[in-house]
Amino acid sequence: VTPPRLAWLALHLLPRALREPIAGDLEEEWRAGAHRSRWRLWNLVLRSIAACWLDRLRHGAGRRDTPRPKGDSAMQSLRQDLHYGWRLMWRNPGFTFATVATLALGIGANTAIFSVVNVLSWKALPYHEPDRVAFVLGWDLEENEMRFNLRQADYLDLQRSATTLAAVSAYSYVSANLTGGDMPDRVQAYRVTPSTFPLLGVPAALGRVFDHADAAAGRGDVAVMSHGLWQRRFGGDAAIIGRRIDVNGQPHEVIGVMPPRFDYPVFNFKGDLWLPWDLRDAERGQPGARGGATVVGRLRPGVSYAAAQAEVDVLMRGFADRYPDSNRGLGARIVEMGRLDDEQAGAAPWILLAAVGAVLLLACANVGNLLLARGIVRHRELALRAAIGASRLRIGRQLIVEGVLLGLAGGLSGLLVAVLALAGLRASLPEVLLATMPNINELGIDGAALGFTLAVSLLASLAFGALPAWRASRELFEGAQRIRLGRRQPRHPPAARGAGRLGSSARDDPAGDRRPARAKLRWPATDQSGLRPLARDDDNLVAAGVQVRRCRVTAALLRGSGRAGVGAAGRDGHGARQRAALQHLRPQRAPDHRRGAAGPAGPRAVGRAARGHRALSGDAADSPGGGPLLRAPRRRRR
Amino acid sequence: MRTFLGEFEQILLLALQAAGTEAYGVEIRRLIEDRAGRTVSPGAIYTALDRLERRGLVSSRLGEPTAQRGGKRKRYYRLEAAGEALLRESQRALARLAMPQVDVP
Repeated sequence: VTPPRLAWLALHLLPRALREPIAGDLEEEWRAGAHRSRWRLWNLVLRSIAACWLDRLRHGAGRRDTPRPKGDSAMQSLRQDLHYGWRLMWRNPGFTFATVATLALGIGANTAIFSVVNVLSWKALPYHEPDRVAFVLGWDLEENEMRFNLRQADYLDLQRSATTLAAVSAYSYVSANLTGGDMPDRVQAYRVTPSTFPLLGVPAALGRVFDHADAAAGRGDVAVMSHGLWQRRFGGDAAIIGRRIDVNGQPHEVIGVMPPRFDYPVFNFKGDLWLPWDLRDAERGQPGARGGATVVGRLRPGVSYAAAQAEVDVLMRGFADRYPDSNRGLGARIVEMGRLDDEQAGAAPWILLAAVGAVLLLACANVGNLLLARGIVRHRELALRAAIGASRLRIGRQLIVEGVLLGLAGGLSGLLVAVLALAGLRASLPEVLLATMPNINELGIDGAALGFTLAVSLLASLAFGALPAWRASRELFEGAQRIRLGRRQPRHPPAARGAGRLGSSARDDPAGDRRPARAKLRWPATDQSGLRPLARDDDNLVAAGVQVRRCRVTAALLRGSGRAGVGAAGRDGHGARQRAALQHLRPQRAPDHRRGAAGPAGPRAVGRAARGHRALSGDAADSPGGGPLLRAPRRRRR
Repeated sequence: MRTFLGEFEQILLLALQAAGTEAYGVEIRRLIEDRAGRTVSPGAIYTALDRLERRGLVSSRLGEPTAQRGGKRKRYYRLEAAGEALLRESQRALARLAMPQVDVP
């Protein structure tokens, strides 16, 4: 009758407050056999967990002893962080320029190389389902090397026999002179079988493409031209359809213009003109049979490349056996059309990316160093923020937000660098690459490159921003005794200023006491301001005078902490001297010392630090000297 | 603070009322299952009771741990006067709605 262990473990997912009664009920029922089956028990366990957490989501987490401080919503403080980070960037133009320029170079190089690799290796060819369009390449089985072309008779036989290929087509290059206009032109023309355009699945942008119907009707005198040729030679004239052009002296009727992104074939000179190819005289034994043809196939849906390759191997072996004169030692390899250059390029794209990635890492390291150095300069500012109540999370987030701002600025400038780099790269590319590589005309910043830049910028800002943020927050909050407020040591004894003294470090203490400074405060027995020790228990008390000279900066800083009553401290104007007493009582200790003991003008803000909460009560109206008296957060630490 | 009761809250309060003095989860669940023909998870019961307790409609106390429950304590709930009044009002409102429509002069 012992309950299933796993279900009982799952009950630990219940909120603690409700776990005992729910688990008790379930166990009682289980022992009494009320559940009848394990499944019913599991059903109740999972439904209980869901019910508890859904309720919590809907209604919040039960009783809340301390109300959430108002005006401190996450969005609001994030906006403050952004605003403050932005101002910091403007106020330190040298620093900002150095970091942004470093990042811009790193990110720009990455974006440029990403664009190149994306366009050349990853971007799909402009066909319908391009991953199913494949070369059927001639292969010399004896030398085991690529021959590229098959024989025209092989194409015809493959077209008839291959069942794994939905369609097979072939093309052949023709050097063509285009005449009939103002001046003759030499264009890259291809004879393509009528199956070509249906195989690629790309419709014409203007007019139509030719297909088997034209071949059946004996129309060998039609032509389809590229968008580039149409623009270049015919000025984009829509009346081109139906016009007659002379190709190598033969008249052809233009029936269609392809869309601008259409490149065919690829890894060969891109075609400007496609003419129908009549292969009727290329059957075995006929004069054209031994002529070459580049064969392209489309795999049937659901057929793998391995299956297609296996079938083509069998077919090619059959041809070699039957027609040893022409086919001995000739095989075929099926290669996805877009992958042909990948096979040749190998790991080069990845090596390139890794190299620029390393450049970016170096940039990040440099920026991280700069930020670390600035963290030291900013120590006072952060220490003050921590002292008046900013949480560790808040300060860490401030630094991360600053990092992200820098990263985004670097990314934006990096885009500019990338555009320039790509322009330079394009200009330096050899002509043959431009004429043969698919997609290369689209080399530039596109959506993918933008997304990549954004992602890289954010990643980089985390990379260089996280360490300084972590370090600063650790220094501030884990090494509390090292916080120094104020630039100079006070000239006058603190008693004269009506506040206690913070900052007598361990060095002053002959006993070598390394307890935090709060333990070594010396309180005057009494003084004219009325601020007296609350009790002889000054081990639990810290008070510090903060003289605020640069009120404008500090006002923002104080407002940044998002606490009411503190912001008022900075509004007195430039040069006003404000005194804030930072006080801390160790938790659970001082309920008896509240208020009354402090005397008529004593620090009103002293209170119990309930369960270590760092709620600041800036009771500005009541405090002596007009300054707010704050209860400062202090981490309890041994 | 809401001044009405949801359907499930009414069911719970009615079950507590039916149980007499006070009841804990297993009893409440059995009552609801037997009389309303509805299987509810203990999680749903306790979260709803917790909320009702915060509204002052029911009160609870912890019982003694028993071996039968693997050493876990029962939590007994009791219907408070405020809960009883609100339940009555909710029931009346439903009854009024269910009545055939009459012309009010």
